Amino acid sequence: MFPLFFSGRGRKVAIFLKLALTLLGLGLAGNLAGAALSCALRRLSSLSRWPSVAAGAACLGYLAAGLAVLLGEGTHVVVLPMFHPLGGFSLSLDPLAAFFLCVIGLVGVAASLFGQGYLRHLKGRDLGSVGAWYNLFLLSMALVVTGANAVTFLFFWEGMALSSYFLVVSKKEDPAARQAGFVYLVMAHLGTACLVVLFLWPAAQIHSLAFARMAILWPGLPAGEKTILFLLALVGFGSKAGMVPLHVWLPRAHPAAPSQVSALMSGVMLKVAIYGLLRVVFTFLGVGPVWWGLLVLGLGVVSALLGVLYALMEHDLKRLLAYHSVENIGIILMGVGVALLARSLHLPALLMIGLLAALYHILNHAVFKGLLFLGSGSVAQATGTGDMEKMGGLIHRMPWTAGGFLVGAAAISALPPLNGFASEWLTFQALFGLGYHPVAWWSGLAGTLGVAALALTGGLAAACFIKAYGVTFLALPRSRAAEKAAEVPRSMNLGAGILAASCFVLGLFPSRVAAVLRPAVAALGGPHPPPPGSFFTLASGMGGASLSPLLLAAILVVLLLATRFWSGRMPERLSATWGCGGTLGATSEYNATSFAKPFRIAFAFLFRPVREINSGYEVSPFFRHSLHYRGEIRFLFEEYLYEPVRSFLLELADRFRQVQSGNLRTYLAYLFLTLLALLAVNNKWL
Amino acid sequence: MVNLVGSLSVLMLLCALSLVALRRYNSSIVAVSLQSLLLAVATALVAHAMGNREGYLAAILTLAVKAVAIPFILHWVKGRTDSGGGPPLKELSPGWALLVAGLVVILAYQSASPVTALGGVLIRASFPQAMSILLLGLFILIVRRSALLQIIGLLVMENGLYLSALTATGGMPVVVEMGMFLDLLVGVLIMGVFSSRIVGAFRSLDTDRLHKLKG
Repeated sequence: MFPLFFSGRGRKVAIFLKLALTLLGLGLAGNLAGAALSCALRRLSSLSRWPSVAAGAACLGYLAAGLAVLLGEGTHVVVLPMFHPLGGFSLSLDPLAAFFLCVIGLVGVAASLFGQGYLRHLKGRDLGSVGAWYNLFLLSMALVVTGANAVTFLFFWEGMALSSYFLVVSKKEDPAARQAGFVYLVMAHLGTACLVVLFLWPAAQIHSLAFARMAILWPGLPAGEKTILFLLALVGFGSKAGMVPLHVWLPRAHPAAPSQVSALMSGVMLKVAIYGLLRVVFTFLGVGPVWWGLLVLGLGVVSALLGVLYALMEHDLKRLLAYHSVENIGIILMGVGVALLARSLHLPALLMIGLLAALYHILNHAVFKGLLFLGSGSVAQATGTGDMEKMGGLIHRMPWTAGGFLVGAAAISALPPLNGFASEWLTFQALFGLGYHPVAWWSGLAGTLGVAALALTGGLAAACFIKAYGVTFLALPRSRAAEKAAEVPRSMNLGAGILAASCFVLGLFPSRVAAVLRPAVAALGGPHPPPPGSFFTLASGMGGASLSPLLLAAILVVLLLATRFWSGRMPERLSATWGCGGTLGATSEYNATSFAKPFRIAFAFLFRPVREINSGYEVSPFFRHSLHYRGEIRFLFEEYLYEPVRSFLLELADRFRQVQSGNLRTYLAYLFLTLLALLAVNNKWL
Repeated sequence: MVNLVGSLSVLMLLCALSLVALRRYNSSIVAVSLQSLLLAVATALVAHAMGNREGYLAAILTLAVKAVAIPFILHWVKGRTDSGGGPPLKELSPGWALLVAGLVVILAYQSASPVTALGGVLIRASFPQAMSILLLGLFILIVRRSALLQIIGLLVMENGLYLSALTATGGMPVVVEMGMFLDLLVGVLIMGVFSSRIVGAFRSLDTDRLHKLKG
């Protein structure tokens, strides 16, 4: 048996921890079994659901293990006797890891359930390899968050990147997917390179790769070195989390993967990166200077605004959702930034609210973004396209999918009483708290600007989802594929249903959720006592603001019933829309591009829209036989940041290619000259 | 005895220098065989001086492999080419090549001085020559375009390396020696086969034409 170490209170805790460990072990075994099964069964497409079943069972184990630790409060360290020269793999289930394990488990269960039905109808992908990589992806994520030393963390971090890369490129003969995969791989490795330096550089001084030792010894490092470590962590984890300006891979890679994988990548993998950031910045680096918090807050604001603005311009459903992930990572980073500032300024109440807001939003975003991606997967399977301009009217053909998507859209737009509202409310409270505290003029300014930015983000997100939902599900179908769409199998809707129900539960009982999150907040250095508030009410503990979603829900239900009652009494009359004498059809509908037009004009300084109209006529321009419209926006970061770097690298590579002539004698001459030069140096001639 | 080994190594160095200038296949093969023969004698002398019975075996192997078998293979490769056909390959002229070779020998002698200062009599007598031979072999590899002459360059390098090992250790264990000879024999065989394939493809031993194979 592996050596085990307990730290916790009493016998009950030990039982919880044993239970958690067993469940975690079962989960890991389930993933491994699923991967092996998938490789073994790759030729038998009728059995292709079983890897997904194994993955789902594993995720149940993760969820239960995480909950057991969060409810039991304690830390469990397991040392696996492998790779001892590198310090061995070791796992630890502290409350922070347990919280992220819960996130992985919850979304993983739903995605696997969805995947069972979805994978069977997937065309153009090798189902065996998709099943195997899917299982390994879940396994790696679970082991990243439970890893207790740098070796375990980096090994499975890389495993997570690679397995998701193979899922992104799983659609064969699709050049766009291959290119997306390449961009993803480059960004992932950029991040991993930063992380390797981050963990190994201080190891030279503290002689340990164990996280427990790092937490003790890193705060004693010199301030300059800690600053560099902080920046390394920000770039390394930020590139994986999709923080602007490192977000470029996200809108490419997410649409290329199968939908349940997109749900996991967007809902969970980005959060694993946030886990790393929280772990390193809060538990290892110790209290830092004030500008750390301001930098994270600023990056959060920029990510949130740019993410939602680019999402508004996007007409591919999955790319739109991917940009919304950038936005939500921004909102999470706002909470993290406020918490960092509060820690530097020694404001424990604000620290707790900031951390709680960030963790709560992590959980909520995982749930509703997972739900939305699963919905987009159902739509894509039913219509065979991801382009919103080709959809429409799906609410009549796919009522269950439409219902699930509506719940997700309302949640991501932060409408009460759904879960997005609760965590955005907490983020607002954190920003208000920062604005109110009479610390310095800049903290007030930062808090106020943050509140304004978050409000703008929320408004734009709601507009974007009105567009996404309206164009996709309402009005008349815009293509034959949309006309012929049919509801997807029940298992897929069940997967989405789990997440939709979670949206309600997490939104209606925020104080219960906060109580469960308390150990995780405490693990990050937040104060221990629970936030004030009753069973149904969540209070920020600052300024007397409090929130009772149940009451709000009750009011909403009453309003809804009243309007139904009154509208039932109104006389109703049906007639055709007047079309100026012409006939109106699906082509004259308001579409996604027209919906986004006001925003394209208002934010023209950012989008730099380009428009091109080509009309074909023979005799007079008044009698056209064809009309082509092409409009696109330009991406500032890609144009001004990535393109110069890319062309510089390519040019450099071209220069270096001259060295490689392919002639053997030239290579030998290089060898000879190097040898002579070294001998000359040895003789002190040079 | 030590002086004799030193003189032999100087003669070997002269062989290497002549190979820098020589471009005819026949005379090059003779020169490298002569160098190997001198090496075999030096090996036997060192074995005698050290009272090392196994050293004689190494000397006999050197004679058999380097001075007899490999020249035989080289002659076979030469026979596969239509020798004398076509104009001589454009290379560095012998005069310039010898000038560079002279500079290389000076550098080698300079660089060897820290080693010779620390080593025993044997090292002092022949290590600088061994190092020069090694570098000259590499130089021949670079300068020559013909595959056959490149193999000879490699053999010169190998001889230099063997000489330096011999003088530094006073004779290596016979197992190591046998492994080395086997490697060398197999290597030369493979290179010989490849050379004859190059001739088959390009009607010439010019390795620069391999460049055309690049995709």
